Amino acid sequence: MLGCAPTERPQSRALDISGANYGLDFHLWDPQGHERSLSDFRGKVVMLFFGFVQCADVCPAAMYRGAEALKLLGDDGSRVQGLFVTLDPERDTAEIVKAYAEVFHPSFVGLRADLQRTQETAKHFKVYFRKVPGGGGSYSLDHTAITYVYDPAGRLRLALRSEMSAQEVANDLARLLPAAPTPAPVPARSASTGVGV
Amino acid sequence: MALRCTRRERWRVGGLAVVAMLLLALAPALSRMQAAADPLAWVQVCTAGGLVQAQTQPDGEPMPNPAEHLRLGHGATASLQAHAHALPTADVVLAQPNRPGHEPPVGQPEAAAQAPLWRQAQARAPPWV
Repeated sequence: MLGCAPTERPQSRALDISGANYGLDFHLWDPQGHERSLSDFRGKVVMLFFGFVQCADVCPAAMYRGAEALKLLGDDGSRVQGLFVTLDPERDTAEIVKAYAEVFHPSFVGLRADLQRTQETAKHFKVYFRKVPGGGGSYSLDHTAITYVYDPAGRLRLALRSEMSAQEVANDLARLLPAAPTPAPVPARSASTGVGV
Repeated sequence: MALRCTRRERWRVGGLAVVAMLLLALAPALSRMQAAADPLAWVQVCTAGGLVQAQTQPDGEPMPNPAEHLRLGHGATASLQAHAHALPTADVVLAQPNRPGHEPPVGQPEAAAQAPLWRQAQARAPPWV
């Protein structure tokens, strides 16, 4: 009977990577030219996105989902920091990264570095990316589609899958916030508007 | 012509069969153990051809063998891109002046999902027995 008792804690679809020996820290630059590391955001739950501005598939969906999750958290959303790290520093200038991150949520911070630092950072975070040449001298990037989540102590805790909803992300973020209540579920969207990000 | 097997050969074949059955039975458990050891053994990779589930090497690089990859299809916002290889560069887009009455919405617009043509159709009844 005990095994059949319903649990109040909702199941998470995020990957629990607590104790991972990668993704421990970064040293990147914000649009104002200040070097930022993970310790600068100590005390907040950090959502770390890797992507590039021209990505039309996973990156905007993940960023939008992150912003939606912050809204769902209400006041606790201010205790979550979204960080976007560009994997395409050759095209994504500081101004572009800033504009891109802030269009999703004004509190999101865009980070970048030169190509070598970007490659080193990506390797340390087990983030894969590769240029795919296209027509007209343009190119796209294949890249790992994962959002990392750190707890307020700066420890890597979760890897969010791309198919998770904003509500699921908000639930996971709320669990990492000390003494934070789980946000009320949003009403189910109709099939014609549900994007599932 | 009858095929003769010695007792020793029968034991060998039987033993192999038992080992094979054991490995088959233990395969899910072994797979879970491997996944628990490295949760990022399989990662989702965003590619120009859509999202793929790829098995990774220890350094995070996806396995080179395409057969190891599972295609998951495009994300919802990819429909905004149509078949273009990549969007125009952001600096070009940001430099475009907004026409009056055509200001972009704040935030990322949601891709309108197409309702299936059969949405009005009644659910099928189970076959009458």
